[in-house]
Amino acid sequence: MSQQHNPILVLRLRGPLQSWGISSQFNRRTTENVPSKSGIIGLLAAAEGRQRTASIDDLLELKIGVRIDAPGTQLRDYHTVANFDGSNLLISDVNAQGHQKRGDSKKQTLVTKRYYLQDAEFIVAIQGNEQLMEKLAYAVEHPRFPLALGRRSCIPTGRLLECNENGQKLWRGMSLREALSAVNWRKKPGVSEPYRLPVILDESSDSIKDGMLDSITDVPVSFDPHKRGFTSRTVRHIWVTPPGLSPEAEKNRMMSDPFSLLGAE
Amino acid sequence: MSYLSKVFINPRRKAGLRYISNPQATHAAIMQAFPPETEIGRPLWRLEKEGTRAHLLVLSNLRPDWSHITEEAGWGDAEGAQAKIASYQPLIDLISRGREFHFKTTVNPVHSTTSPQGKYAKEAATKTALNTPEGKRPRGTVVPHKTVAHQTKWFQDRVERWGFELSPLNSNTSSPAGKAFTLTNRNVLKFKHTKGSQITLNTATFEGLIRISDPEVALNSLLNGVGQGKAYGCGLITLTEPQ
Repeated sequence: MSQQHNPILVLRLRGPLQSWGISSQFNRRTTENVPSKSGIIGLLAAAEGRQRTASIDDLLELKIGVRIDAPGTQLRDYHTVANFDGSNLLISDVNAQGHQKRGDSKKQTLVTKRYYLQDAEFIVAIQGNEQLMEKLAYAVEHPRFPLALGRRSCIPTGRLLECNENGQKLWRGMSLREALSAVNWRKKPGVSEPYRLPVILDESSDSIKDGMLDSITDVPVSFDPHKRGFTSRTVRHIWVTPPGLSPEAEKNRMMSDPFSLLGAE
Repeated sequence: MSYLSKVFINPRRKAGLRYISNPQATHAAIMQAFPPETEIGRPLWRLEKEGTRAHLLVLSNLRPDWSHITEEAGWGDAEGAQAKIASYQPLIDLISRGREFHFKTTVNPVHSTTSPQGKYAKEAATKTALNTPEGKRPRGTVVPHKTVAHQTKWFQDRVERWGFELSPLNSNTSSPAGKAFTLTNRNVLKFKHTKGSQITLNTATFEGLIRISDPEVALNSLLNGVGQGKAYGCGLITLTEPQ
């Protein structure tokens, strides 16, 4: 139960574009609909100024929960790759010396598919031990490397760190689920108001007996370019109704009963 | 005398699913709620879906019996009312000039044109050739409005003819058109007529605030419905107290 009382760091991820790839390969770079654990750990590691080859073992012990405040829509970017001097692109084939060969002269430009989420907004709650969370809270406010929402070109908008109602950077004495139900929902212009929000929570795999559990392969083993790999984690899907939403208003609109003016039966 | 009914439909039953998906079947079942050789007139109805629940709202000039629907598409022996019937008279008594209501209606916005485009052009040409006597002006072809802008304009243009006026915007309500009403749902219904022909209906649901401008015309619109597709769940305007 000590995990219950560990401090929680809350981030609000929003920006014109986000992109959270977990299974992308080659020229097709897709995005998931929610931030991945590798993306969030990568963001924290970048804030602390860790090199790619540095250990991330302490960060892997963090528990995270993601709330979808605005799901956003997918965007496919028309993206091309070419050599600036007009020479042919390198291909995967190698010559006898082990050097990459150059491709066909007809293919000087390559089209690649890059997917983004536009107008999405997420609340991410991260729970871990006291010392580490203090360090991470400071690092997010004073990042050593530029922070990005899943891809280097996706710049966050506004303040990342979401303080609690007393203005403290860490949320204490509550579970991840309670923290995600307590963070304000902010209305965005032109977005219709939901009456509850979906949440994806890290869950220990021994609680697999009750349903609504799912497995996602997005836990990094290392960010070292030569040792990359991923393992999976178990997550639970729940709903929360945070402050800022007015489920009653929605209910009243739906319930406008044409019998209300007809009196008793 | 008019009656408003609410019939709950069980989506877990085969017949319930049929009523939810096929307006032709729903229409037929509603007509069966009245005994033969009576002046049924034209019952108006609307299918309402709330999440996984659904119910029918039916306005009829005779008191209906819904047992044939509740038996095959209701909850059998379960406790609780499966249908609700109330006299419409209390509402009719409230219709007076200037009174404001919250309204909801599902309509089938269409217009008639003598120069239809696309697939309607061919249909119009055949009809004109078959039915128009020499020297007579051909009748227009009925074409649906398919976009939000067209459907909204269609509604705005007709509301006055139906005896209502759209209430001006007040501080509590807002909508893009600058009037206190919104297009809350759009649908394209495709189903087979009993004769086998394919029917396609473009429907739009509007909700908001209206004021009665001509009580006599408004009452006629409420009791007899508005627009096309009345047999298929369009044209019923229901009124509630504005919030």
